Amino acid sequence: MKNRLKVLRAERDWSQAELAGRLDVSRQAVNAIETGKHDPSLPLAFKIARLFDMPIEDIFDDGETA
Amino acid sequence: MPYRPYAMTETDRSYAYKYVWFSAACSVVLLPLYLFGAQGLPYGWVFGGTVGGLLASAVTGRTDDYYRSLCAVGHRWVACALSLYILAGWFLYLTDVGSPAGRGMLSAGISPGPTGAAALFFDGQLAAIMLAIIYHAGYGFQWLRDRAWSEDGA
Repeated sequence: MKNRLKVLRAERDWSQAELAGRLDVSRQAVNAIETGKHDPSLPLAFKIARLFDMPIEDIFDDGETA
Repeated sequence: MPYRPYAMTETDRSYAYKYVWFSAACSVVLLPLYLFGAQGLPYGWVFGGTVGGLLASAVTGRTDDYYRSLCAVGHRWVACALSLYILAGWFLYLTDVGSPAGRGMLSAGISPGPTGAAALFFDGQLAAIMLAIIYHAGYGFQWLRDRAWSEDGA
């Protein structure tokens, strides 16, 4: 699943480790999500959305929406 | 935000990813140690390292989604290997029932005792060590696959 996590993180000038700390996950998990290797669970997706104060659909793209 | 002195940090969570490689190395070293009959403290350390990695994969409270997804691949590999192992044993049990009885009827002699399944299931500890190696192989396979897709590595 494509996502804008890397862009959003870069806009805030956060490192992967810093974002991981804010999301209560590991740096490896952030890297895996950013590179599309791993889709986050629903609770983590909500946490990411809340952190960036954006709807989930604006961060993650499952390729189904027009 | 409340003060949580024992809250996990990012470093704590990343530790699980590092420990699994230590556990993998221990499981690989454990096999020759066991086969050559090594005993003593080093054997205990290696044994503990292997068991620790397996236990860590089963305890999900201090790990994140991605770590658990990597572990799940290792667990699937173990389930597959274990089912094939048991299936092979089942076939051998069939042979143990069929072949000696057939031979006994044909030759009217003393039928040999069960051998096939006994040969496969003779060493539970060896089977357990092999399953530990297979678990880490599955974890490592998925980790490498993710690195191959990755744009910037991990």
